[in-house]
Amino acid sequence: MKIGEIVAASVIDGLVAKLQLGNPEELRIAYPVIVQGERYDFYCLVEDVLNEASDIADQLAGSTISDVVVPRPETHEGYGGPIFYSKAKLRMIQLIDRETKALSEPQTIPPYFAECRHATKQDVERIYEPTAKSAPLGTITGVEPFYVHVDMEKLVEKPFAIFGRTGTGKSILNKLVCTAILSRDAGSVLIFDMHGEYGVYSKTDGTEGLKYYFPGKVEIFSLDEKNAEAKPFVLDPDQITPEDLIIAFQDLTPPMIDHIYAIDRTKPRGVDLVTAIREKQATEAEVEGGQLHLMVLQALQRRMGRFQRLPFIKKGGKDAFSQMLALIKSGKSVVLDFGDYGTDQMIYLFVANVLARRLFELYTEQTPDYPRLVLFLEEAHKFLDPRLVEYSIFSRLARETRKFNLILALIDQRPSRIDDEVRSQLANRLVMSLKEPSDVESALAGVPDKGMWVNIVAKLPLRTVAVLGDAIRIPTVIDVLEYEDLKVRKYLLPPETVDEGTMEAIGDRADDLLGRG
Amino acid sequence: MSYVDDMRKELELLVRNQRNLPIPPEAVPDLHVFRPADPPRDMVAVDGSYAFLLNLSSWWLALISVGLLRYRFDGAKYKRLDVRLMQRMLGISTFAEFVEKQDDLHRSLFEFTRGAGENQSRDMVNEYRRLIEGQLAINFADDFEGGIVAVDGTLSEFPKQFTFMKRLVEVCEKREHVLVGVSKDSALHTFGQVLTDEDFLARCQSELPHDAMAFARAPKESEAAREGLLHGDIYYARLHPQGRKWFRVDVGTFRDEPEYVFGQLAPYAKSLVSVGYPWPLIEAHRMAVTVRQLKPIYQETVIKAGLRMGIDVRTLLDGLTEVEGRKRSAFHEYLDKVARDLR
Repeated sequence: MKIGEIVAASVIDGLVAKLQLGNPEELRIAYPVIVQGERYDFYCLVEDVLNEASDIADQLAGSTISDVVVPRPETHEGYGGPIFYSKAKLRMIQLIDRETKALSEPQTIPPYFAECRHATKQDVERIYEPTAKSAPLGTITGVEPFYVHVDMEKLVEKPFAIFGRTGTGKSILNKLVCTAILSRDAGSVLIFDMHGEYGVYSKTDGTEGLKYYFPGKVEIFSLDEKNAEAKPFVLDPDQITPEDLIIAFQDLTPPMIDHIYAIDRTKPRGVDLVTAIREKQATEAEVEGGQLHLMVLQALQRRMGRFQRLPFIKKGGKDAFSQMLALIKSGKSVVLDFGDYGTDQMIYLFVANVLARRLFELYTEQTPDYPRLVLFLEEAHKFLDPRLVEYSIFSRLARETRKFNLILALIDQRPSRIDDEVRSQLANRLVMSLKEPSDVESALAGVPDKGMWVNIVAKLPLRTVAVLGDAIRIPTVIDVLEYEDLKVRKYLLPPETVDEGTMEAIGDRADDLLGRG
Repeated sequence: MSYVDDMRKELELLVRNQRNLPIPPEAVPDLHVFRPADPPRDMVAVDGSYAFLLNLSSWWLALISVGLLRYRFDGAKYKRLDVRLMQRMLGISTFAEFVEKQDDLHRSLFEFTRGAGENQSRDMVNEYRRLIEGQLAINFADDFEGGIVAVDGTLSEFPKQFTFMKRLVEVCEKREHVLVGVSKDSALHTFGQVLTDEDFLARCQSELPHDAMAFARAPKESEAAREGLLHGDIYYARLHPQGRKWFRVDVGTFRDEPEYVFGQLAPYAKSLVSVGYPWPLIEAHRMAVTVRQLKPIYQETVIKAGLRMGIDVRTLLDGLTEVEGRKRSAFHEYLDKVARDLR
């Protein structure tokens, strides 16, 4: 259906269409529109819908004259269409050669009066061709249901991020992404599961987790001894470094940090750092020499007391890391369940940093031995805050490990608090609704046509994501697939993924654990 | 005495003799109240415009554009049913000896506008525009029945030998159309008052019930003075209860039923864009004046054609005109620019 005609065009600034819609509410920002040129179909996204200022409208608005016909598009048909009409700003995304159907970048413009219409399923099918390892994450907005494929192989080649404010559906999207990565065998995943969402069933909303769909591909470890479904996670305190502590506590003062490094340098062989700090007795020489300050040391020791109460830190215990590595090496994915510790931010930051650091060391040393692993990092800004980034292993991970098969996936609601250099490494961004202008700016830094995307992202509804990067043919706004068993099976899983017997067994065990009827 | 004192004196004179002049009761014309039709007939509205494109000595080239639209009003919206645009290019000369060698049309236009002096070229094109409007209205009116045919301006004829208005009245009578000519502005004083008829009737409005629609017949003497050229009765009408302006409306058919005629017009005068003036005529006007908005495009066509015919480019460029026919290169245009640009 024709919706308007082009009245202005620029390769740089985009197109302007005079709309022939009775009601501008029929068109929304980010809807795909086709402008029919002579040689090309111009695939565009709606960047803005506008009623331009008009002196006549200013004069007529607020009139107190009664028994009149107000000049709306449906009441006043002028010689060339409605006398008051809306316009749409369109951003050209792709050219489709009308004859060959070949796609190319928009380097020209359509002629004046070129007709505009809503994109159809056939139009978008030309753009989004599924690949061997692509999977749909949802439907394209503004078109009859069409499932847009994202290339999972490309997605996990380089660091990527899922940004969105709280409550927009980041976790659901992340589950879909993980499911898609596993179903397409694009890589393995390591997830720090703070809220018990990724195991068999989500403890927050009861939806199915990764273990449910991929029982043979996913292993669960848990910090919480009560979780009988999972392998116990045990950490050897000898593995703890000063940087792990700095990241875990987030608010250590510079003198405290200096003290940690000082103690680490001088601690006796065989004593772990936490114990060394806790048991440190400052000598007179150290105090007088200014190497240690008693008040600072005491404050540090009080904080280290928290580690004493953590049962998963066991000296001489069987370190779970080597088990995890063996699983990862064999192509399996790992969900690290935090259980009751999921609400303790310090523990999350600490464990994630320790594991990531050790993975980084191994992957950079022995790359060929390890398959591609995607490390999902929630609350990413807490690791990648510019104030702390020098202590975090994650900035190096983002910058360097694409060469070593270890890929960082950031999940965060405050992209503005993530270090610029880390953000610049992101090859793909899945951006959901963000309201804080600085977050919108940061989430889209470096994206082509950023101005348009800033407007779009600021107005995205919930459960909708703008996908930008090389894992998708063109930047696209997607209505995220409903995370519901039948849909996940239909659109994401290959038919043979889970046999009926396995499913029943998992279901029974999950019912026992979660008490579902 | 400064110019401010002069101004004050003149304004006082105006207020005393015009603005505050009491209207004697016997001077107030018969004001007839009417009600709008529901639903009204379809309305066909016709209006035209022109743009001069080129002037070489005493010869001008102008493009005339006439828009015609047919609307239906259902009580809530104006639906456009049909639309026509007619364009004619006209070359005219104001040099009598040359005109004598031209056809009847050119000679008639020249003779009819002979007294216009410097404005003759404009008046010739304007009269031709009215002829085209009439012809288009006649053709369209003959194709359907029982509508309203509204033309812009009066229902008067131009040279008698081109009796297009008479023919339009005949066609409208045959097809039972209501025929009216609505003037956007009228400066007549047919009621014999110092105020123009429009202003005079606006002053008389207080005699009417609040928010009434009404019409008044102009004195018959004013019609008699135009006998032979005028094809209708002259009225002034307020077509909306809150309309601020009285419009001159010439009624060409249904002359015995003015209440009926104005009742048919009134529903078309309810648009907020033009309260009291028929919306279809606004739209016909908008359509016609595109000839002025698009003038550069038409001039480009003229230049290309002229060059192909051997006219040199300097001559063509010097001959380009403003819409009313004044040359762009005229000396006073240059003087205006100097006055504007020099500090």
